[in-house]
Amino acid sequence: MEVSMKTDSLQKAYKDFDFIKPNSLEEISEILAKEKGRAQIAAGCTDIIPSLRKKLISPEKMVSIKGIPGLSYVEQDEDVVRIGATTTMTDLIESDLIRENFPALLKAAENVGSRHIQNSATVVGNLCNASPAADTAPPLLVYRAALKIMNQGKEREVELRNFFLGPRKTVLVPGDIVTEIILPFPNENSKSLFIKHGKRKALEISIVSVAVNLSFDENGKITEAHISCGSVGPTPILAEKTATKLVGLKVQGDEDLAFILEAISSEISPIDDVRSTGEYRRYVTCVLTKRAILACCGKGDY
Amino acid sequence: MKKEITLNVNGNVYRGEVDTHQTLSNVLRENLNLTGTKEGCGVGECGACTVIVEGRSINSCLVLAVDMDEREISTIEGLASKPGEIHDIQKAFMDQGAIQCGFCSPGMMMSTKALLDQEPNPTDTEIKKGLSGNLCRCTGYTKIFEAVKSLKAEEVK
Ligand code: FES
Ligand code: FES
Repeated sequence: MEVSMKTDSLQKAYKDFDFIKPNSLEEISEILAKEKGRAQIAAGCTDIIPSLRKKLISPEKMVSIKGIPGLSYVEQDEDVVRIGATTTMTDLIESDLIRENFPALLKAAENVGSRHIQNSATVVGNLCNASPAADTAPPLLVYRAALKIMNQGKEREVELRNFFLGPRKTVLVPGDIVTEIILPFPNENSKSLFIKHGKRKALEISIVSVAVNLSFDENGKITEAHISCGSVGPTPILAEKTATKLVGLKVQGDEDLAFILEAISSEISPIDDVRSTGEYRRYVTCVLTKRAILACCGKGDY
Repeated sequence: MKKEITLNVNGNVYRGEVDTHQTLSNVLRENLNLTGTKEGCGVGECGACTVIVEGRSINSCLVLAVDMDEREISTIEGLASKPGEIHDIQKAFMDQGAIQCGFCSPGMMMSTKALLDQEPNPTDTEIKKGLSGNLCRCTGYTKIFEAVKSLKAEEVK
């Protein structure tokens, strides 16, 4: 059966825009170069539509990359895993590569919004939004991810730790498009974990989130450490100083981690907002970091 | 700005112009008169607008209709196979008293459909996860949960 649509529509909530569906990365590049910042790249749209409604963005052109063939993948390439620009949270959750090697990232993807959101939202989009609370940012930071960025046919790589500049601000300039996340495999003898703390289990923006990735020698001594926290600063934070203090330790229990509160406190700058107070965030960051470290060291549950 | 698109909704092909800023939920309700799909929050938090696109449940309020050009969409109106009949999911919700005001019900049922299509015998946790994106303002969660449980393939047999 074929039916025609009524063409009258509801009064629009926001400024009119053009909608373009390019067929290849090259085509996007051309459009972005021509539009110089007037174009908004759209993939899952789970954040763009609320932002349009709140009038946080008012693009003249929306460039949808969702339909571009070959941009959705999770694949191994020698010693790295590559995640494509339109790969969704559900794609990550269903990937054996991620399930077997990147448990903290898997957990974070499972914690994004709801099943429906996970089916639409992309991982690259989660990073490009640059929310301090982006669920996948802390795990990707502790796994030392990098981003491949294209601008008018030229490619460059930026480490994720250098990508975020502030709330909703990144190093991306007009014309840029993130085409891929590059994820090195974790060390042989390593453990990683992600903990999200919110008021409920679904559809929740984190109050605090913590990801930890620790490597050990054969005696259980920590040889390499990465800690990252979300929602406790203007960007997702890589707590490098605290992590460095863990190297060389063989953690037996809580008593070995007494320094964490002070160390982690000096690296975060949590604020009061509708979800929580800054003080509570500071305390919970410490608690979750300790729990995550202990669990990675096989000394406790989280 | 207007764009011409083709939508396949419940097996019917619709062709016509939509505004670029219209969400799928808006087009379903306003242009196609398929008002079974509800819009509650409009920002992805309540799931009243849940539809299935090629096997996956999504929030139709969080996707632009123009972006759904040529895609296959299932809504609550297509759940039962014939007009005048109801689907097992609808029957289970009725039998278990899982409907109060009914505003969340189309979304809840579409989430249930997507869940059972993927996993005919979901565990309790899987059911909760599958419905995690749907809020019931009447808070009838226990009965909704029981309704989904009664639909598990092993229960039905
Ligand atoms: S209306 Fe779409 S999630 Fe609430
Ligand atoms: S039955 Fe009223 S919102 Fe669920």
